[in-house]
Amino acid sequence: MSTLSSRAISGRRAVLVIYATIVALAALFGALVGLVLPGKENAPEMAGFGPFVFEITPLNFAVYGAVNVGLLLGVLLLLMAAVSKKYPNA
Amino acid sequence: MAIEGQIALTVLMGALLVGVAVWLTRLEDWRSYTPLAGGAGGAIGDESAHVHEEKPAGIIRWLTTVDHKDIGILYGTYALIAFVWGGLAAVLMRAELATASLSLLNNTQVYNALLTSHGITMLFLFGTPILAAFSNYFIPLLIDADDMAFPRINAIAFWLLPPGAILIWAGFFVAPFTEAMTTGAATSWTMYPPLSVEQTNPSVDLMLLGLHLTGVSATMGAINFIATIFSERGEDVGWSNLDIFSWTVLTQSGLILFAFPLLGSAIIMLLLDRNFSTVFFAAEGGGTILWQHLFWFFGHPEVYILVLPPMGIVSYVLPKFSGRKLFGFKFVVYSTLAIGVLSFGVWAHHMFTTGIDPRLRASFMAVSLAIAIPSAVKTFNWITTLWNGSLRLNTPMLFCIGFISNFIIGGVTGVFLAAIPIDLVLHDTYYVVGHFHYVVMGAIAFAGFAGIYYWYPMYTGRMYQRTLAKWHFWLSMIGTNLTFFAMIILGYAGFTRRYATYDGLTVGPVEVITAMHQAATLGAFLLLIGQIIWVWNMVSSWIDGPKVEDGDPWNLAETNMKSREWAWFERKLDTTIATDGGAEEEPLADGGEPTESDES
Repeated sequence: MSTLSSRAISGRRAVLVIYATIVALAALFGALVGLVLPGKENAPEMAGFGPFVFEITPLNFAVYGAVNVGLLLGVLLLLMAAVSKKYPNA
Repeated sequence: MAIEGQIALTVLMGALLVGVAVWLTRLEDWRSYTPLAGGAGGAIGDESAHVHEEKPAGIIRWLTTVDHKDIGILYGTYALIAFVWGGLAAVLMRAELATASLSLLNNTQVYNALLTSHGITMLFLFGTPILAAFSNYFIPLLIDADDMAFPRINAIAFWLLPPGAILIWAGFFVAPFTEAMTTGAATSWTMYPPLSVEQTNPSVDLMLLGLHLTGVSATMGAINFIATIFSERGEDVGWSNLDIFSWTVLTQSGLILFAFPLLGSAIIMLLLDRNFSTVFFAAEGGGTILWQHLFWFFGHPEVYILVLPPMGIVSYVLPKFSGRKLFGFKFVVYSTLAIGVLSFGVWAHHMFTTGIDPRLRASFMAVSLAIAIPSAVKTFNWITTLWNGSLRLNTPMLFCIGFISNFIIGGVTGVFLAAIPIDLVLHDTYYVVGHFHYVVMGAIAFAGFAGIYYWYPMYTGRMYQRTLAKWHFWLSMIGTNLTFFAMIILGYAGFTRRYATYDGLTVGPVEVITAMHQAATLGAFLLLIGQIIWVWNMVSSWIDGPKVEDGDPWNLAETNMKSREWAWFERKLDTTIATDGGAEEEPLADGGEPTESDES
C-alpha cells in the first residue's frame, strides 16, 4: 500500500477524447432540439445561421450542432495547442 | 393562565440552559489545551509550560476542539449529512416527476417544500461548509501556519451551523405535531416576496432565522481565512508562491465579506415584513423588485463563492496527476481575482424578465458576458496543463477531468442565458435548472469529490477502495449528464421549472417532455446509487481500509509535484506515537506569540 500510480496516458489523447465527446453531445443535443421544436406552437419551418438555412429536422439540427460546437471549440483547441507550443514551460 | 404557563416554561428553559453552561465549564479545564494556552493571563511564561499534549478523548474532543483539522473534519461531516438530506429531497422530487400526475407526495405543497429545502440545503448547508472543510483542514498546512488566526472564532463559526440546519429543516420535523405548520417552508430558495411575506406558515420564519445563522457563520469563517492567509503565513510562503487553492479561498472570503452581510440584512427586513407589518418589500413600500435586487446582489456572488474554491481544488490537483505544473499559474490567479470583482456586477441578469430599465439590462448583459472571459481563461489553462501532461487517471484526476467537461457544458449554456433575447425565452424553464446544475453538481460537487479522494489518505491515514471510487465517478458522470442534459432539452421544449405535475399539458411535445422527465429521473437514481457507493466507501475505508505508510501515497515526488501538506503528513507519519490519532509533532501551544484571539 505504498503507491497508487496507475498507467499514464498522453494528455493530448485525453483532451481530444473530451473534445470528441462534447461535439458528439452537441450533435445529440441538436437532434433532440430538432425533435422538440416542431411540436411547439408557432414553430417556424426553417431555421439557420446567416446564409445557411435549413428545415428543422433532427438530422439537420444534429449536423448544425456538431459543426457549430466543433468549429467553436476546435478553434479554441488549435489556439490552445499553439500557445502551449510557444510557451511549453509557462 | 396560558401566558403564565409560557413564562414558567421560558424560565425553566433558561434554568436548563444555565445548567448546561455550568456543567460544560466544570467538565474540563478548558484553558489547558487551547492553542494559546497560558496566553490568557497575558503574562508570558506564566502558565505557558502547562499544556495538554493530547486532546481529550471521545465526544468531548469533538465538542470542544479548536484545532483547525478537527474543525475541518466537523465541517466535512456536517456537509455530508446536509448532502444526504438535500440529495434525498431531490430524489423524492425526481421520483414524483417520473409520472405526470401527483403520485408519490401528499400534495404539491410538499413538493414545493422539498424544492426549497433542496436548494437552501445544497447551497448553504452543503456547498459552503464542504468548502470550509477543505480550507480549514488544508490552508494552515499549505501556508505553513500553526492554526487559523482565530481558532476559537473558527469553532464558533462551525457551531452556529447545526442550529442553523435544524431551524432551516424545522418545518418538516414540527409540522406533523402542530396544526399551525403545514410543512417545510415553500418559498423556493430565492424567497421572493410577496409569496414569502404572505405565506403564513411559521416554518418560513424559522428558515429565515436559520439562514441568518449560517450567514453569520460564513462571515466569521471568511474573516478568519482572510486574517490567516494575510498574517499567519510561514516565513517562506510569500504572495508569489502562495498556492492556488489559498488564492481562491482568499478571493472567496472577500466575496463572502461583501455578500453575506447583505443577505443577513435583507432577511431581517423580510422577517420584519412578515411579523411586524413593515413594508420593505410591499408594493406601497420598497416594492418586490427591491428584494430581488438585494437578494441577487448577494445571490450571484454566492455562485462564485461556491465555485472559486472548487476551481482552486481542480487547479491544485490536476497538475499533480498531469505530471507538470499548472499552465499559466499567474493568469489563473488573475482570472480568480477578475471573477471576484466582476461577480458583483452581474446580479440583474436574474431579473431580465421583471421589466427593469432596458438600458440597465444591457449593461448587465455586457458584464455577464464579460465574466465568461476569466472563466474561459481558467478552462484554457486546465486544458493546456492536460495537453502537455502525461496523465494518471486516478479517481481524483477523473473527477477533475469530469469537472472540466461538465463546466464547459454548464458554462456555455450560461453564456446563452446571459444574452437578453435568449433569456426572455428560456427564463424560468428547465434550461436554467439544467445549466446551473451542470455547474453546481457537475463541476462544484465533482471538484469536492476530487479533493475528498485526493486528501483522503491524509485525513484518515487510510486508503479508499479504488474500484468503488471508479464506480462512484462513472455513475456520477453518467447520472449528471443524463439528468441535466434532459433538463436542458425540457427547457427548449418550454417546460417551466418548479412544477410538481404535468398531467394537464396540452401544448408542446407532450411525449418528449414525459420521456425527458423520465430520463432525468433515471439519471437522478444513477446519481443516488453512485453517492451510496461513495458514502459506503468513505466510511468503510476509514474504519478498516489499508493503512497508508508512505508519506507520498500519490508518488508526487517522482514528478517533482510533492507539496507542503504532504511533507507535513510525512513528518506526522514519522513522529506519530500511539495516541488517539490526533497527536502530532507540532506543539499545539505557542504561548509566546500574542495574537488577536488572546483578547477574545
